[in-house]
Amino acid sequence: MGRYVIRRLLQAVLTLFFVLFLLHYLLSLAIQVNGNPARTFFGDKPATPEQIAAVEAKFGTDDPCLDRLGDPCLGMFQQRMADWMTLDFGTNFDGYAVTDEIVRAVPPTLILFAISTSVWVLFGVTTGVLAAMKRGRFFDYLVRAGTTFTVAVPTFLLLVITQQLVGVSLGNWARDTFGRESVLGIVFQPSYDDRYPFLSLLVPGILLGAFGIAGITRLSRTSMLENLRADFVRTAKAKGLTSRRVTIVHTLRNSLIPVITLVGFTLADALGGTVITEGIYSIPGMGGLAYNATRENDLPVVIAIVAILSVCFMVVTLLIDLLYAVLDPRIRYE
Amino acid sequence: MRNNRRVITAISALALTGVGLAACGGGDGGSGSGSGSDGTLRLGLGEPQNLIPANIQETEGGEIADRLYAGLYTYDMEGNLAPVLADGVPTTEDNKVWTIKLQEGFTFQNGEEITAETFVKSWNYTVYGENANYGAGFFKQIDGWAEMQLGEDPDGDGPEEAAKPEATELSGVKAVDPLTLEVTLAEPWVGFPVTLGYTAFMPMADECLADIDACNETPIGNGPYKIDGKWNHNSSIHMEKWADYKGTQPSIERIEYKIYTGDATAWPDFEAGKIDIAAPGAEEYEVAKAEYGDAMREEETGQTWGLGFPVYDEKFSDPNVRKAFSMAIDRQGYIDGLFQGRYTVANSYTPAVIPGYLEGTCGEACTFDPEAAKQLLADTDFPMDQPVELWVNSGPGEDYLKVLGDQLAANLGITYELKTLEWPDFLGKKDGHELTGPFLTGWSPDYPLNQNYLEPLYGNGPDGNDFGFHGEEFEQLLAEGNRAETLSDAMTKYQEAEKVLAADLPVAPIWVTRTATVIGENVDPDSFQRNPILGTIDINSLKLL
Repeated sequence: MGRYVIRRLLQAVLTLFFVLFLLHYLLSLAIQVNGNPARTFFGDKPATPEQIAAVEAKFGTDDPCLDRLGDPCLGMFQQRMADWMTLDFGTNFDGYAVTDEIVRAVPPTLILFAISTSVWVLFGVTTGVLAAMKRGRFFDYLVRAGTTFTVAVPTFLLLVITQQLVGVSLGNWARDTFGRESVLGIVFQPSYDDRYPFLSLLVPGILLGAFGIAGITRLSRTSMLENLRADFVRTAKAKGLTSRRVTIVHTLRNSLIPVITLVGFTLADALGGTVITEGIYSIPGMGGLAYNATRENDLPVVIAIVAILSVCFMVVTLLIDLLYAVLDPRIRYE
Repeated sequence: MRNNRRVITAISALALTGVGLAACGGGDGGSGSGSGSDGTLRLGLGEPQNLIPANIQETEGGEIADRLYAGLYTYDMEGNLAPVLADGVPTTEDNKVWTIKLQEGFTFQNGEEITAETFVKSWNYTVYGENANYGAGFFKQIDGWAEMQLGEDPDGDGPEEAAKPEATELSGVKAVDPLTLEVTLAEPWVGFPVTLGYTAFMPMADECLADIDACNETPIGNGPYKIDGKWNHNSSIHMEKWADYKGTQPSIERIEYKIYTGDATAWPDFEAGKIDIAAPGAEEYEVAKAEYGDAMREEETGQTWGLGFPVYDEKFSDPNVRKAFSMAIDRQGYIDGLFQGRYTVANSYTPAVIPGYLEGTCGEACTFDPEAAKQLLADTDFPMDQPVELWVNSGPGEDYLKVLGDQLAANLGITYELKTLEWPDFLGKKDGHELTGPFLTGWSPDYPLNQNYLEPLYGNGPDGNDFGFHGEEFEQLLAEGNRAETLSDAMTKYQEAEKVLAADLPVAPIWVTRTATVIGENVDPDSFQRNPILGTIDINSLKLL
């Protein structure tokens, strides 16, 4: 087990390095092709070459390699990695420390993820399992129709409609009835409120959870159905175990393996969803930070965020692999 | 099976307790239902880039600076200079050396006194090349500006550093005594006082200059409001009325700005009653107009848009070609179709809110006449068989230009090709005269004077502007205006220059932006007015209900 973890970690470090370099190269290329972002500081107003040079120095985009198309800018990459060793992540184009920006952006996104993961696990897995148990009954059809519906409705549309109906219409009713600072008034509001981070993130968190829930529900159902017919379940029933023990210990536990893999990947996919969710609900999180930084070609921020996300993603995959071992004795004893 | 039912029961119980909890909480806060008229004004804002006056370049930062800081002058609703810290307008004998008197007794919020020396220090910081402040460009006409800038970089972007600025102090600015500031310009210019109301000229405390980064997070202002806490990036800025402010005290006790990130806007929050004044976006405009009626105010701004021509390009060097293109644009139809009719047709280079505005300087060239346009173009050497390349940076401008291209194609019988570039690339190619066809171009004022819409854009010789335009008579008239004795004489000269420019038409003016603002029920609608020059709400007149 220990050797397995170490091998996985070493792989992860190598992958991370490769991802970072690729990203650095792509962003340098973007500047080489699209021009130095320092010029945009002045917008439509005229600027002298000396003024632009001063801003390039401030932005850290004054390396001459950025003027040569295709140059990998190895010097810049080396410098950045050396800075990172000393935990210096540099500053963004507005002169603020990247570390501060990220530290501020992490909590709302974490809350958002915590809410949507709970939705997947509590709601997705539960309904999937129940649908399997009630196969062919009304509840099963309801779940299947419901999952098809969530896949069919575009996330963006769902977010905008909910913002209007729940945030504005229902929220106005709640605020008129119970008061501006009431729990319902805060939960049903059209944007993030930094005084009540958890409550105001509840609705967008659930919506983000709706993104990807169909897959998890369907997979739980199928996986459960498959195991219900498995030999070991029949044996367990034949042994005279209680139906509760058969369902939870023997069937459910084994059915969760593929589901957990999917939860991990859906979480990674949901990063894309946070960009939209955070954008519409004005949540100052990682998705919005990444989106704006990419749009402005803000190199230090983009690279730092992607590094963090890659690390998170690798940790999540590692955890999933370890969970396999916990759930399935066959993997554990190999 | 029984067990499964229990699971369902557990879930519904959980859901019910959740609702129950929420309902309980709701009951507690029930007393203050509805309006939030507690002396607090709640506004929405995009994340500012910076809160240091020297480095503010966008409306978001400008809005905050206007509340926290007070400058020598501001602009009144007509765009005229109005003293704030200064005592009267600047005086001069020769339009080269200007004397500005300060009122006594103004201080910063940390207790530091504001004297002439404060401005000397603040302005030196702003202009010094290595600080790379956006506001540095506003001081260009002051003597000694060039010596404060970085020298030429010997090897372009190479490893050798650019030479340090020769001077650390702006030689044209002197504190004669604690209440007298003397500014010497490089060349006499009667329009100089008009520039002084801009954010870049606001004073900064010694404590602020000593630690700019800290001051950016927690501004040390000298204006009617004082920041409460610090700038909560991407989420909020709160401020309270500063009782020790010696100028006009506003009536609103507290302002809370909520910051919207990404593409989010304050509009849904306004509809939910959490924001008091908001601007509907393009999608919400018509609904808002129908729903709010009189509570929606629409006002002219100083932002103009037009189709720029590459005068340096052979195909567009003939003024008649440019005139034909301009006459082929149905401006009102364009604005009605693309902007739901919310903007104003531009028929001059200077917009109506700017002092020195003269109606219809563009004249016939800005009047829609497809027949004449087609005829005019046919009489030139314009190659009709090649597609015209239309340039724009990626974003909403692509749609704007496409609709314009369709009009040109239909009315002139040309074909066009849309060329989209990323913003930095577009700016670089525009600077370098590499755009090979007409492009979309906009301008916002730096100071309220018609000269600002002429000289920086089309003056300075063919290499000094984006269009490669060189009008000898135009530049001559501008120079005469700059040397005029009085401001009104200067404006007249600038107006003459504008008429001459319109005959050459380096840009076809198309529209002037208008703002739409909806006023919520907590605010007295009669007290609302927006300053057309600064683009901010006049906080002194605004009252809550």
